[in-house]
Amino acid sequence: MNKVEAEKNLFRLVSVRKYYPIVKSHALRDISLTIERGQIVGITGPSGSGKSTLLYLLSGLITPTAGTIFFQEKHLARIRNRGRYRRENIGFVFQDFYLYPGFTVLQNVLFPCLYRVIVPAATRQKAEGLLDELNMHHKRDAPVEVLSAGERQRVCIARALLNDPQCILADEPTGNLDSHNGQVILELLKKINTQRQTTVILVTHEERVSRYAHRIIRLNDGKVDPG
Amino acid sequence: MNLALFLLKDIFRKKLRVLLTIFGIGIGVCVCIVMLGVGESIKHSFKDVYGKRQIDIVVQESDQLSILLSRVDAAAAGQIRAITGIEDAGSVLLYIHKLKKSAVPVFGWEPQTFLFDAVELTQGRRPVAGKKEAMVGAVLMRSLEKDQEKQITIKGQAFEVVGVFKSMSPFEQSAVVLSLSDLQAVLREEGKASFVNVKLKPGYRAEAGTDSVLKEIERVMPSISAMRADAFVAEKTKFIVMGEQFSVLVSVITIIAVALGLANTMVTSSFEKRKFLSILLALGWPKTAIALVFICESLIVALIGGALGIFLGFRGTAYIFSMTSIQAFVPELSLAFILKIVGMLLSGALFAGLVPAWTTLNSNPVEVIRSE
Repeated sequence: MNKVEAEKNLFRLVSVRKYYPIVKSHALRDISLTIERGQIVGITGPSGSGKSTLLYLLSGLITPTAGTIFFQEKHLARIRNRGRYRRENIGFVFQDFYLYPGFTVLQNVLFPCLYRVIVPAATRQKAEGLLDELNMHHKRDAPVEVLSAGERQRVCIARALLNDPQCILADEPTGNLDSHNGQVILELLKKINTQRQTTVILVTHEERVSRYAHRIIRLNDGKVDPG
Repeated sequence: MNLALFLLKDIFRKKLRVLLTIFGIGIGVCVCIVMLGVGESIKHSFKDVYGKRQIDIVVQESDQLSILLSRVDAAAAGQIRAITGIEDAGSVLLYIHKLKKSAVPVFGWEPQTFLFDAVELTQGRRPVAGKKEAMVGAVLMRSLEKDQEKQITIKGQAFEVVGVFKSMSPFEQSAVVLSLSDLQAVLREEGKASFVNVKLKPGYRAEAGTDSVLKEIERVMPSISAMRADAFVAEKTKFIVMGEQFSVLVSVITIIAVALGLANTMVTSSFEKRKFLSILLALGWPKTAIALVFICESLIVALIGGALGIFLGFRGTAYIFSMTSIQAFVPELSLAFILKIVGMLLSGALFAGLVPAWTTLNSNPVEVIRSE
């Protein structure tokens, strides 16, 4: 691979396999693919095809049983501080939002930085700016319990963007939303991708994602479906 | 918002559970403090009688276990004073008097001895022999003032209170002090004393010096027993030490029970929080910070419970002393004693926090996130 190609790739997977011994299931079988910087990549496929496993492998939360994942041509399994890797490079958006009840919208956006003894004022300003950008600033002091599903997902996206990640990993981000809100969220992710050049990797069942994605990876039974 | 605020807010999300846990810890610590504190306080009170008053040697009747039953010749103090290395010696006659519902120690002190120097007169003057006069400790005086009493009747004889003193010993704070000859007359024990307190010259306070004086006292008066003051206190509080060993055992068991209760709360809390903490891992929190969430929760709950327990324990010890007739003993909580309890509690809390932290950090975060 030449240098230009290497710089283009955010992720490169070489013969990646993932086996869950407890349930004796091969989630991924010999996956080799690259994901370029600045793209929106949709990962689709039926339930149990290994979509989410692939997403979490890219996050470094789990490691492959065999094969290698490279992040910016660095061996992901050899990155010792994977918390830091996620903090600096990855933003997560979940289907179930996973906002912390009892805390306000702003506090939830600040969660990725809350492990610090003192959250810098600049981070707080940035969180407010993100809420502003996502039209949620007027609700910054509201408890997350009172938000609608669409608003919760926007807070979740603001939280994912707090550390200026290179990549957003979104696991069924529209799964709990109605059609309208689902479209709003997809457009929002598209906007983020365009304006910030953030790579977005979406796991989804939705067919309409093809309208927003630069590339669709179809998985079937743990393998990339060439069709 | 910062980490500390998050931790506090997170802990008190389940208010009832946390409050019950805190209360449980408080009761456990209270039990430990009361059990260990009563013995500790009595021991300190005894120790202070001697240690804080610079009494180096105590002379009492040989082979007599009870200090109340010990009888020596009061004139022995004169003979002891003549021995090299001794600065002063004073005969003391001790009697426990029932005053209303309380047991009050009554001391007969030999006049013109160092015994009077260690107390500070806050009102009036020292009692004069033969005039039926007494001086009382400040704590006892407060109780007499409540009843507007100016006299103390001992064995049918009234003694006018002519002075009030403050003592470094809590035991003496609730005591009555008469002149030795007056108490001897009341008890019809002329010429007798319970023991003789001896103060050494500074050059003789080292172990070798004290030993040589002890030998000399026993050589001059073979029928009596002379002991270093600390050994004397240790012997007289032996029953407390035995009780204390039992108390320590019960306290350790209590603290273990408290730690297990706290661990149970923490494990329950971890099950509730597992998903959220896995999300925090996904958001890039370091594993140490996740562990810190558990450990801090456990330590904060333990510390609040511990503080409550120390407060309740102190009040409980005071209540026990007030319920019994022993007015002389006051509850004392030394820093070392509190640190011992807090140390045991925090060790338990650390264990209680580490168990769920370890379990959470060793579970598969993806399985937790994707579980229903």
